[in-house]
Amino acid sequence: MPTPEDSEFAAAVRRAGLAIPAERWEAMRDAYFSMQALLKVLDDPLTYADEPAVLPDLAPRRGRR
Amino acid sequence: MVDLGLPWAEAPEQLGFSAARLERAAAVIRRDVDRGVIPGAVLVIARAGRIAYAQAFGFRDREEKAPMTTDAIFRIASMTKPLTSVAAMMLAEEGRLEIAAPVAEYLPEMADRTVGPERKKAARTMTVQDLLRHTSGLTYAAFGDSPVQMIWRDANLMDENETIAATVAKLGRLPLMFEPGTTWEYSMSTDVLGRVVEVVTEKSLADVFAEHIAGPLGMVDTGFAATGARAARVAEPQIDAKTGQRPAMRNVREPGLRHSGGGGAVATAADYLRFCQMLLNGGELDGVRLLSPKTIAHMTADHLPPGCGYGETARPRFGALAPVPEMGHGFGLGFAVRTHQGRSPVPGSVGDYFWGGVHGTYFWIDPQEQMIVVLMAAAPDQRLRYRYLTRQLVYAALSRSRGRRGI
Amino acid sequence: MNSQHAPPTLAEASRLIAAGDLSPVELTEAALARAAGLNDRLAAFIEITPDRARAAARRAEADITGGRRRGPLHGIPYGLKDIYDAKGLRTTAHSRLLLDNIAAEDAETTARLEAAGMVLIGKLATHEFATGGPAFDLPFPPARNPWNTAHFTGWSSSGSGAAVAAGILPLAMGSDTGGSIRLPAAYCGTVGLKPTYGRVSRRGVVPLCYSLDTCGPLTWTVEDAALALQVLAGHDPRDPGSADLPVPDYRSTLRQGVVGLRIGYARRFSEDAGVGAEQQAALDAAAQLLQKLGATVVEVALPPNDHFQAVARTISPAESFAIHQDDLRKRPEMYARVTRERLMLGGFVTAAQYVQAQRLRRILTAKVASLFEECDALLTAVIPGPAPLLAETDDGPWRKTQPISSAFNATGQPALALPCGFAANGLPLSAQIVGRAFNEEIVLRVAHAYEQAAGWTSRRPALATLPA
Repeated sequence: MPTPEDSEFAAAVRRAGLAIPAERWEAMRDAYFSMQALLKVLDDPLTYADEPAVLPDLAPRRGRR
Repeated sequence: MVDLGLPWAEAPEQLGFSAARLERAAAVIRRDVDRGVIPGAVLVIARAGRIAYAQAFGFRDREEKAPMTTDAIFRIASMTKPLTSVAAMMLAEEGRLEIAAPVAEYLPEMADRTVGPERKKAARTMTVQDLLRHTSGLTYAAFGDSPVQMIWRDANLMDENETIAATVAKLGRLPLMFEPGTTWEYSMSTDVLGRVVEVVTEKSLADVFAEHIAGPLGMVDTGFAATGARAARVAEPQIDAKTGQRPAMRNVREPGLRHSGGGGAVATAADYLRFCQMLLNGGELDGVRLLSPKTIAHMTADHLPPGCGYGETARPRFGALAPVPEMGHGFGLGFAVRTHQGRSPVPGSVGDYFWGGVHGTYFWIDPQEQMIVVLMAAAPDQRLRYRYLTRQLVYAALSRSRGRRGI
Repeated sequence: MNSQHAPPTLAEASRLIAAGDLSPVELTEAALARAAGLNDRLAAFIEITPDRARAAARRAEADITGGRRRGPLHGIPYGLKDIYDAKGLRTTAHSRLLLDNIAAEDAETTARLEAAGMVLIGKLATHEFATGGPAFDLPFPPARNPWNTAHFTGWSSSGSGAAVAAGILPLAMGSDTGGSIRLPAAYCGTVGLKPTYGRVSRRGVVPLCYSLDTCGPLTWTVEDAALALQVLAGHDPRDPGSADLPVPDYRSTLRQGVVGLRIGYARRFSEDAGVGAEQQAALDAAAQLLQKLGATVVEVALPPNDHFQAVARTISPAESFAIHQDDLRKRPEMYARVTRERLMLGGFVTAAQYVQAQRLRRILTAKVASLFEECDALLTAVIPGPAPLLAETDDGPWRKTQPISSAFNATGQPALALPCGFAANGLPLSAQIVGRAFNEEIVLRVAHAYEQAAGWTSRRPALATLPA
């Protein structure tokens, strides 16, 4: 009986178009949830003014950071 | 006894020297001559205004088998810098030159300086003090292969057929290596200072030296050339076994149009001894006063700011006598000065001041011991070793130390 | 354990060559002999290129003796992490996928080092595609730490760290996406400089993560890093991340000392990242030494480590996955297991998470930049050290710990790793100096002042002083 975690992970794997061998399933699933736990902080709300770091730089003859 | 610019003591012991130890020192130098390490040298030691020891060693020109004489004329190279510095301080005393002023006040071509290969605007302007203590941001092109030095090399700043005025004009268009005031970098600063002296006095540096320093002090062979009968007294380097040639040195037997305040002068040991005695006396010799004692005290104080940086040649080039804190030396207005008794492995006294020339000449003045030592040699590859060695040998020959009372 | 017989550093070799006291041909032969002699033990090289090296050394020697010395690096050996293109040579990225990948052109950095007259000795081990970890299921073995070959070299510029620490090369190029220049430097006891993002071109270097990848040097001394950066830095119109800013003279400010500088010591930041007592004491001593040298050292607080980690560990895997997704789907078996699994994690990052990470990244960058309004440089750890055993490195798909170094990939400021002592087991410990964006001068200057006063440079691995 697959757990809800298994279902969520299975969906993520399918959406990414990947194949994970059975013997590595558990390790990859745990890794996936460890990652999601760290990335929780990204759910904190930001203001409208907080733009992303990587933006196109169209200024002529000026370097971008 | 030959005239070496100052009266002789009756015996070295009178001045607190051991004759036996002086002879031991002489044997070390003679051995170097015999082994071909140096072609020859003139060594003069004075204390309390009198000569304790003076000797000519080896050859004035080994290849010509001409023996060294005490009146031999040497290319004193960077020992020109103290002469130029004294000239500048004399103008300052007269109120004609301001040590705190921007160099650009006297040399407009030195205004609007940039720093580094990226040519960013300098944070502050260079001052006359920066020129005197080598913190102007200038360098010598031959000292390294940093981006700025590569740019400088392309500008050919050492052209013997060019006046210093023309060289300084070129310098004005080149980027500095360092921000002014931040870094001690041995440099063309004193050439620029010489040009400042020329502009303020409206005379050539040769005339300034002759009329205001060499003439009044009786330094009869000091100038930018050794022409006429003097030409026969010029000391020459020996052939370098590695290259089979003599190390290249400037032709000084004909007058040139380049009066380099940073390195162009010639002098005898006697001449330079008189110059040193003037400094040790607080600016006066035989009734002729060039500078006030307070000015000499100011020149021989450490002028490097706290946290002063250093260019990469400072330590390797000057070794145990580099004006760096870990060697216990600073730099004043024209000379290096010893700030600590310890730290440097080479002996000296706190407050002694000195400089040397790239061709092998060296002097130091030790006010604590009331002592002056002038070493003249045309041996560029031995210069650092001989600076150390001479200090070691001379201090080892002292039998009484510390101040006038002890002498 | 002394430097007496260690091979010359970049600066030493440069001075000796300039003075005519060292022959580039002899220097190159010595490097080739050491490279070949030590590769069984260190696996630092994927390919050694003796013919090419000898030809380049002979050319350099002829040019230099003929009065055509190009500059300070002329005639000196170097190595390239095998993700850098060198025309005519294979760039494998340590991967089975690129075994036939012959470079048609030099990377911009390679071209600059070649134009400076340097002599390429070979291509150096990495981790597969500069990510993954030490793996034994690849065509080339993982590099080993010269201080103790049972130990890990640190992250992916692993052959570069090993070759410099073992005295084979005075300069090896690395790349740093989360710390891969600074971490091998830390574990191998060398200097590793990650320049500001945009300072050094990345064109012709196999990408891992476009918005974090940074190219830079590993060297034995800080002065050597300055010498290398002088040649490497500069605008490359063909790298869209390259900054069009002038390049200063890095050596001219190197010796200016730290008197009057304010250095922010991010002590808590290191502690929170798991730095142990031994290394913390070494970092405290480094802070005290800088204070003694005339700097004002103040403790500063950085934003929480997990914010930096969330940013780095979203952006890096997401961009890497985008680069590798086709191969991961069609021929996943070609990768080492650890590479494959770590790359796959990037496939699970959502678009919203990626954008959020880039938004948080801008906030963190501004916060770190604001510290430089009060401080000239920051001092912190690079990674908890010393190097673990190679057999004990974490090879799971999710790295349990993320090194501190990656914070400054997220924010882009220049950061340099250098030794700050030795652990009880004899392995090096490392500190990190961070500076204002595009102000590598201060980083090098602070690091040089510390290095000269601390004196760790004279301690070399025993391997480095063996005859080749």
